[in-house]
Amino acid sequence: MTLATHSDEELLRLMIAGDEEAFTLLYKRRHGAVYRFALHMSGSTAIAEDVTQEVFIVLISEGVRYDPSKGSLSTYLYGISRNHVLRRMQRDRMFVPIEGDSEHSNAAATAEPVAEADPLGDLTRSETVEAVRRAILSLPTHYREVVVLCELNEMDYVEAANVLGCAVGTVRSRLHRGRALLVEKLRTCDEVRAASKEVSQARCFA
Amino acid sequence: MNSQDLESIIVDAARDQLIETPELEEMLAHTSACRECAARLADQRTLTAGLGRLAELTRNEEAPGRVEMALRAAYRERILAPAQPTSSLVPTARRWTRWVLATAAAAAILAVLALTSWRVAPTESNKPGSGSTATGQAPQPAPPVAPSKHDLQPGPVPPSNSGPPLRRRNLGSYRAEHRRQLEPTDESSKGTRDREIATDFMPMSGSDLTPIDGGSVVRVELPRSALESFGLPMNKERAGERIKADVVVGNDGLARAIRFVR
Repeated sequence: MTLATHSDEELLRLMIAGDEEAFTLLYKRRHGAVYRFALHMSGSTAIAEDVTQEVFIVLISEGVRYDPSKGSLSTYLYGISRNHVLRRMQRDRMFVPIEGDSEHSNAAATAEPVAEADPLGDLTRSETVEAVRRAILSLPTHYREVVVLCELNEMDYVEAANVLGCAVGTVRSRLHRGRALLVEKLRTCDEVRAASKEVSQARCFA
Repeated sequence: MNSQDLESIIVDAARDQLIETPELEEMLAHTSACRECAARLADQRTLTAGLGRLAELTRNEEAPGRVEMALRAAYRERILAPAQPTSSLVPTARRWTRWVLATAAAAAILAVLALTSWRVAPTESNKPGSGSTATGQAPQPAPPVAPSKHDLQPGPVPPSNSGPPLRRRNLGSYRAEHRRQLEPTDESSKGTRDREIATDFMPMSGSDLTPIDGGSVVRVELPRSALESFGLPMNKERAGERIKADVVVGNDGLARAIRFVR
């Protein structure tokens, strides 16, 4: 039986017993999700790297404290990751608000709203995926973490509730509100973009 | 189903989590009649597609390999030094490394001093005709290539009576190359060190004189007799006292140079 067939919990047990290969395999298996969670939450690869390192250092030094009865190892790692991300963001004051772009705000204030048949229609295009990423980063933290866990890390409501330490109903309501905010932000973005385009064209023809 | 009812299930519907349920039938019936709810559902579905695209694009993003290397090193350190405190591995590692460097530097200096003393002032057993062991004979006590307990005791060094002092090497280029690296940079110790008088750095016996990529300057204490080993004048009456020294330890752990501080 090779290590690859072992569960996370078995690998953790071997890792604590001094099996470096088990640690390496556990890291390879779980670090991607931790890294992506930190990346989507912070928008910074540097923070994501640091958080990934810190999460696994905690696992090395305090892995014996993991209690399987309280949830999966994956949930445990997400929980540590969340704590580190929030702490780091609080320290770095890392926010990327879309509304903070004064040039866009001014354009939105002065331009006529432009009716679009399908303002969110091109969200799957690669250039506008970046707009989704930025919109997520501009969400308040408690909405952002639910969106990242449930939408980007494909976690179900129960797992997300375990990570966040809240009720499943809270996860549902936060996801609902978070998504509504995303639609608003992306619609605003699209309107601003269209308005800017019209203003530029008007200037060209003037 | 009315618009308010739809609000409670619109997210699940947009995320395709209402497949084959009665709510789905009711929702479809409502949205076919209500343009506003149909538009909201369409927006939510488009958002789901956008989020899915973002998730897909970032699915393979991972931490760079250096993170794994650092963690494996931390893991080995943890296994090798299980008594270390667990709350802050990295700072602990730094403190541990510093301590090891200081110990290694002191040990290296004492070893060099012992070796130098042995070469410069041979003991009775090393003198010709004093009955030293010949090759092929039964094992005898090992020659003093490493410091014995006796060597580590502060005390007068036998007067040197042969060969030039080690300091008489041409050190100018070495010092010029290393002067910038060897300056202490710790701001907290700057005030103290400004009041200190120090010799130039001198290479350790047998050390590599090529420029080093980096390292640490470690403060140690040595028997005052060490001054003589480096060709510096020493008050014989104070030979038993200790003297401070700064030792340059390269990243490879080897002591490269020393200066004495008063």
